[in-house]
Amino acid sequence: MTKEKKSLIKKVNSKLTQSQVNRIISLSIILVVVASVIGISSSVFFQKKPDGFSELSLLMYNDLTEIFEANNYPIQIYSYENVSVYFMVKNFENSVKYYQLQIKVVELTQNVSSQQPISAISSFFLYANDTFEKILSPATNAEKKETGLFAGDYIWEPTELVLYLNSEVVSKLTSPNFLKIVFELWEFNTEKENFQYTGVFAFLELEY
Amino acid sequence: MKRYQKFILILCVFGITTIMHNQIPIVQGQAEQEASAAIQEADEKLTYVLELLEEISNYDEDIRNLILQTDDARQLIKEAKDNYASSNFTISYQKATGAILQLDSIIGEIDSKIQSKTQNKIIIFSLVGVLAGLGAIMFSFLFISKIYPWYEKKKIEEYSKLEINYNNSKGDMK
Repeated sequence: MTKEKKSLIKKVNSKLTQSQVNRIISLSIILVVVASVIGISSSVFFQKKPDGFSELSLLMYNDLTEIFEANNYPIQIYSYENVSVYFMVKNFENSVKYYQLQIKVVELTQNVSSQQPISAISSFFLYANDTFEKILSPATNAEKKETGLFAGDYIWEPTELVLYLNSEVVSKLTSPNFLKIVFELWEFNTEKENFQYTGVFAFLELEY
Repeated sequence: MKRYQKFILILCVFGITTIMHNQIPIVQGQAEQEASAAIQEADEKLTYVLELLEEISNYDEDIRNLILQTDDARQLIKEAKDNYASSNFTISYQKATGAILQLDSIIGEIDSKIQSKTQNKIIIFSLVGVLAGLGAIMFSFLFISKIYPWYEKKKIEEYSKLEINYNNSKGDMK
């Protein structure tokens, strides 16, 4: 068989393979159309929720301006004078949250972590007869962009806390003159059916 | 006879007082049990409502209202617990049953909302599936009726352009 003959057969063969290629292309187009329809519909209907967060703020009420501000925090607490602070929680998570605020008094040297809550051994609870709990809706995308708001379905409105010097607690503190009041945010876990630490906290260091 | 009547009357009064005295702790014990059971049931329902709410992907105005109602029910449960701790079992029971009723109504509303959303999803998915299928069928039909014959025609045209030259001296084909 000469070179020319071989090239002609190759030419004919290549033509035949091209038809197969065309079939493959058409099949691929069909597959791409079907896959893109499935892809688009799944991205519309099975949207993965992005990670959210919870916000805890400690605020003071300014009597002059009549607004809440994150400023002018108390630095001292006396047995004859209570101290008022306000806390506010915002739900920027992507689902409903059942929050609980726990208030603990610890030594000034006690480290506060977002990984572990302060243990009951090293802390003393304030407001043993009162609990601070609230169920909040998640913020919408528009609400997430808003700042400086103090009311809304996703906001636990500024709630007053009256801090007082508990002589029993003070007697247990070893560091003289200073104490730390820690505000820990907990959330209800429906699987475990109890409150779990969110890792969100705030604290005040006060002289007494 | 009159003397006996007096004696019987005193005995009756004493008997009724004794019965009443013994009955009060029993009634109180029952109220305590009922209040405790109602609080537990309300707590379980609250957890269930939260589970349902967590599954929801779109928190529209209706759902946000339901969340507010759930928080009201939580407050009722808290008051029921506070009253229970203060031994006000009747009030505690009333608060807990109030919370249960409220939570039952919330569960009903969430269920109907989830059901209607699932139905809508099924309809939309079915439509998308049918449209995708139709698209694929139409493309196949187009391919079979138009593209493939056009390709075959082109192929024949291409082949017709080929010339076969016989070289007699060598007997080879070009």
